[in-house]
Amino acid sequence: MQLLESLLEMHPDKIPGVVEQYIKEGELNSVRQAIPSLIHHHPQLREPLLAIAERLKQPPPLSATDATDNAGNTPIAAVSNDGTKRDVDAIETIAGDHAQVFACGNCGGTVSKQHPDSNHVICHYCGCDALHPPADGLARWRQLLDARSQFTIGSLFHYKKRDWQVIGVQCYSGKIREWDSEDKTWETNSQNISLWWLLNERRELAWMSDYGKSRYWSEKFIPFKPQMPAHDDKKVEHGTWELVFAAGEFSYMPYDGEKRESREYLRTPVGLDAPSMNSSKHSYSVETGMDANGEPEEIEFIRSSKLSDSQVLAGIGMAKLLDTVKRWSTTSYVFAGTIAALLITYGITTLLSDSTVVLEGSTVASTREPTELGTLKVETAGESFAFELASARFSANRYAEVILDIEDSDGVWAGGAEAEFWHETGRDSDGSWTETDYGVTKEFRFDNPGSYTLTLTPGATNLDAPPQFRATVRSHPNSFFPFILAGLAALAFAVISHMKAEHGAASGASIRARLRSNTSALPDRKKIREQKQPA
Amino acid sequence: MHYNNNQWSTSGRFEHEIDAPGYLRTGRSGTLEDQRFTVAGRVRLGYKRGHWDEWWLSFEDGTGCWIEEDDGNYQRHTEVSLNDTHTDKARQSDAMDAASALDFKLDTVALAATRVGQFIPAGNEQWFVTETGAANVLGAEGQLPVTVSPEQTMRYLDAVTGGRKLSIEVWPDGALASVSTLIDTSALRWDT
Repeated sequence: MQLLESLLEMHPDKIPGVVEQYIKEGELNSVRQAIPSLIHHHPQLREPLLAIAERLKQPPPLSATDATDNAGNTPIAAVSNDGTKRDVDAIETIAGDHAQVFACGNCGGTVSKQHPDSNHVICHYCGCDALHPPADGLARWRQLLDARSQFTIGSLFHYKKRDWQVIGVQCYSGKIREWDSEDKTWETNSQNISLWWLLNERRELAWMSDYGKSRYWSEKFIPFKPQMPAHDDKKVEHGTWELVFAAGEFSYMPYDGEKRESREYLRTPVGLDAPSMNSSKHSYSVETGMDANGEPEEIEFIRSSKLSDSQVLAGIGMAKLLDTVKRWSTTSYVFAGTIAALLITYGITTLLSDSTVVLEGSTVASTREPTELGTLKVETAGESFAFELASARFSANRYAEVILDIEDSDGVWAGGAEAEFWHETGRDSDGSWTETDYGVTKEFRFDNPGSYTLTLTPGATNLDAPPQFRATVRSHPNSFFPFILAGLAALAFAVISHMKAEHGAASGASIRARLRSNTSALPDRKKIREQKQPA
Repeated sequence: MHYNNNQWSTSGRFEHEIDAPGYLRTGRSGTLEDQRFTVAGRVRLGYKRGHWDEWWLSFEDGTGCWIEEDDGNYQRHTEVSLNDTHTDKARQSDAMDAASALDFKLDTVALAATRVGQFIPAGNEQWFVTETGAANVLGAEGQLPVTVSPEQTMRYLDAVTGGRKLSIEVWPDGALASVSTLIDTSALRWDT
């Protein structure tokens, strides 16, 4: 609702002029929707804004005569709900000339009635009954569909080789209760749903629902073995819902606060649907419409198919975004493949490389004195060696540390390592367990050639005496460092690409109804102040 | 206007206007499952929350059938035999198919007490009740095999099983029942 937001940031004196400018630019429906909120925020502008709203209900001052072409913004002649013929904005209808297009009796917004059984058309610009607007203008839905929503009433959706058009939307708020077999208790979670009503040229109806993270295509069907799951059936998700918003046309009269119950099978009962239907590809639910007293009024059987993000994007016609998502997905797979190739290459080169023991030695068991292992000759700068440190085995629930020191020929400390070895046992729900760690390998890269002295010193221990420690130095290990760098870079790109693909698909495929408060449903502040003033 | 007993008569004026021609339209002709038909007429019935249309299709061989339009689903109705029940509609319709007749007794008192979600026996099957209520005639057009008057009221009950819907209507002058199945709209081919 960017138009309204930008108007609310302006000084009130400028608003009427800017509104006129928006009207000249053709933003009629957005202006119609914004006027009640503007009046609510700036009561002093009530008169000029109401005059604009009244003017928007009248035919626009266009010279175009009756035109049947629905392309672009060409106005077409339509019969308004009061029977007079007037020009209204063109609106695409899937039913062609079978549909009625008319101006809402309350705000003048262009609405359509495409389904012959539609009994109720709620204007999605002002929230009123477009066919029978209330005289006092107060009997409105509390929210409105954002006029600039990407997916809204009138939007087309291509699915199952057929074009469908959105003719209505309902938003339900409710709770889902399901059995948690691990905790052996019922879990209840809140849920909001946007339910879109769609029509094709054969007047067949279908529904598309957005649960936030997932979307479904639903149709009614006549069951073969009908049944109503019990209230405490653990193989069913039990939902209780309340209608909080509706706009568009419906085959019945929806009302604010209307209640429904749903029971969705976690596993489809055998024989529920026709034998020719592949039940495994669908989910099934039994839905009950409740009357105003909370009594069941009508039961319907619904067959649903989950829609992937790609299906939604393709259906909406967002081919560009779909291509972008596919590109990012491919990119993430490429980087994941790169990581795999790096790992394989490292493994092969390690196996093929010649690794030689250049030095080894051990401490004397039970002694705590340092033990010099010998001299290591480093021929070239950057040469790498693998230091394998190990301990003799010792009794359970004990640990022992050893310290490796490396000094150059001048006695300057050039590097080292500490290693802790341990033996632990215990018991848990799975029985007794034992874990040990008696060995570790450290890689060292020497920046300067020369002779280096290696010393092993026993460290802390809770043994009575340190065990024997052993060190083995191997030459020409395959340096893992460049592989690590390349792998990290590839991993980062893979993660970013995957997230971009997922986020792009999920956000593009979201068809949650975008709503805003219907401030015209709020009480008139000026009237309230006047009523409160003493006579 | 309707023709009955060799004379035309009117049913009076209807308040509810028949509007928004749909997929089915009076006067339209085509082929349904290899049978040539003409949409001869329509009745609009209203209930608490809205309305639905029932169309009378007249076939070339003189028979016909009712098509109910319900939330985008088109259902073809076949009359079933109700013991001790005689109505204009049952007599006039030639769509009775003895092979599919349920032939069950209708207890209108028990029917009035039936609630959605219950099972009712009909023929040798148990039918799951999906809807009950009261409806009235809002309007009619074209040629129909029955007599309808404005604001005629009836009680109805819908129940399902075996992929079929059982519709029972209790009118002041009697009851009638029919079993319907969904029509694949691709089986409906229009001449124009």
